[in-house]
Amino acid sequence: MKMAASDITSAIWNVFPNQRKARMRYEQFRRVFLELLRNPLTLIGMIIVATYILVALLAPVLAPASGGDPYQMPRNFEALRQPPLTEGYLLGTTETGGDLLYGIIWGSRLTIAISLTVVISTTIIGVVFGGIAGYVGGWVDEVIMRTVDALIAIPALVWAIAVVTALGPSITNIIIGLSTMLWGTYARIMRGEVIHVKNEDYVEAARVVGDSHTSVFLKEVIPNAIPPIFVQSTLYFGKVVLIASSVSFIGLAPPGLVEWGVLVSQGQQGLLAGRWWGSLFPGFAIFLWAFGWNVIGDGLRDVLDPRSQTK
Amino acid sequence: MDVKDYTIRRLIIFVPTMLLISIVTFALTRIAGSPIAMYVSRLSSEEQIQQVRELYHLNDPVWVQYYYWLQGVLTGDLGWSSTAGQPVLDAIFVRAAASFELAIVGIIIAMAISLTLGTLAGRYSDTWIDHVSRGLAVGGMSTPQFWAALLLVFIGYVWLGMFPVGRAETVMWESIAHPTGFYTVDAILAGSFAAFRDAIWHLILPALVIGYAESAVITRHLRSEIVEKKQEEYVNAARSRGLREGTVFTKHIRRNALIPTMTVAGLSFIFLMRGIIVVELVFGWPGLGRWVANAATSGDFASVMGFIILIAFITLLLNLIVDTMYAYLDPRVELGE
Repeated sequence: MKMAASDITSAIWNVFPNQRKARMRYEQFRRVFLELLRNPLTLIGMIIVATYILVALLAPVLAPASGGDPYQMPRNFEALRQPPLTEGYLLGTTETGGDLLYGIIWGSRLTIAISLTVVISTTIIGVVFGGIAGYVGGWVDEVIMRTVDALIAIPALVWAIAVVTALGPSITNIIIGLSTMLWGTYARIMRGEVIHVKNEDYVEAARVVGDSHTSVFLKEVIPNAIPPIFVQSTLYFGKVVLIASSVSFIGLAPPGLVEWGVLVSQGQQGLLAGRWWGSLFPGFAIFLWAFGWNVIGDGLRDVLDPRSQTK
Repeated sequence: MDVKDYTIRRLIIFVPTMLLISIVTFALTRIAGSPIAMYVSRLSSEEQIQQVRELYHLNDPVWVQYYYWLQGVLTGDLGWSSTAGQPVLDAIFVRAAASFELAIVGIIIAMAISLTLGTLAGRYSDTWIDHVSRGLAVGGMSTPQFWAALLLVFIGYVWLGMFPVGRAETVMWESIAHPTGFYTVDAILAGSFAAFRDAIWHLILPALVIGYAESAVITRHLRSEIVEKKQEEYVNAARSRGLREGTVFTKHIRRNALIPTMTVAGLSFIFLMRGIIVVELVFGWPGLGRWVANAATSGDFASVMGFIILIAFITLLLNLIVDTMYAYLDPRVELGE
């Protein structure tokens, strides 16, 4: 096998600093994780999120669907507006005889699906566009970042409402609305990180010895950008559901769906008559989900960002 | 880049950004298909449909339609709001005062909460006070505003029977002139204490929901600014000059922490606009938010578009003002890249 001189030098360049770096990164992650666990509030957040994931996974066991689409609330017209702790209905029933506990359990799947899809898609879009903007610079940078400015000027809720009004009320369209809007923050983070790394000596060196743009991008830029993107994602997991449930609360989701915002909206009908449970429980489910992620994000930021670190 | 160049650059960018927003918004309406269905019914004859097509330039290519639409927007014609039964611009004007009054009271409450909590948390960082403040702030960030609004309606209206929903007692308000449209201001101008009390009474609950939600970010920001400023050299210098700890805190730490916090507070006015949609809906508040929510559920896209254009315009303008002011106030700020 023949190797060009540049291949050998680049191999040396890559192996040594990267191995040390990989080790450093592993140490860093370990330190971050341990520090996170020391914060009681963050620990609570992790437990909350883990519980939701478990509930979502075990939904068919916890609340067996009675045939048909499990994401449509099954109705029992014999048990309309039952208060909590009624026989068979721990959290009571809705105005139309749906089991609130069933709705919250199956709704957790929708919540996880919505936030996961939006967070992953916005991360990819943001990282790609922000990376291109920072790396290429010039007018490409200008065009991409001005687009981000324009997007950020429209509140995500307003945009999501507009998208759903245009494309029709469905969970998919709520996801489309949020995914097309929320990538701006990721793009800004990524672009800043790329510009920062671009001027570092070791990147210059890697380029000189013939590393491709892609390899520099993957080895140098992405690992550095991961911590702030991570923080942003944890916060988005909560925020996305807050916005999505607002859209469905307004009435822009298919009726009868076991989505938490839809349930709160249905509960509103009985509220003035004193039936508090219809809105209280599903709304609390949304709150807990967002709270769990927000305390994780808050703790993560404290650990990763020395500026806001408590001393 | 000096401050003047920066301001000019930002002003120049303003126009294409607004154009971009208008294009994106317009494109969204056309993805949904031809808007012809809004103007014709099954009973319309082929001839009538053709007339409508001609009238609204629907036979032309999309970019020509955009041109006509933009021309309308620039001359103040944002289309017809079927929800309000009046032109979109008129609908906005009629409802703006109610929304802004709610927003302003909301931000006053947000400031009161966040300045108190943020100062305490920063001053006593890493004590139980700090932890409670953090819990409250994160709670505010995590609470769905429509849910908080419903809870307050239940507690205040159903349970305690103390607080009303809606805007005001109609009988009392018909006897008062409405020169500004801001009910609290109108009541003061009319010299009616009963009316003023009524206006405040109706404002408290919705403003509380918005204010608490908005306070979270400002609280966290002020806290971290204070914690950071505590370590600064000049603070130690002030201490070593023998100033009392209280004086050092208010005059040297907090005052300097407040400047960057104010910019965050200025921008939070924008985020308020998103809370307003659901909160107005729950409280039956006759403002922009409830109108746009109703427009959305009844497919009245002209209203939704008008609202987006308005909000984006206000947001960009506020951003511009806040950034420029900040650049003037703090010479250390790096402008541009």
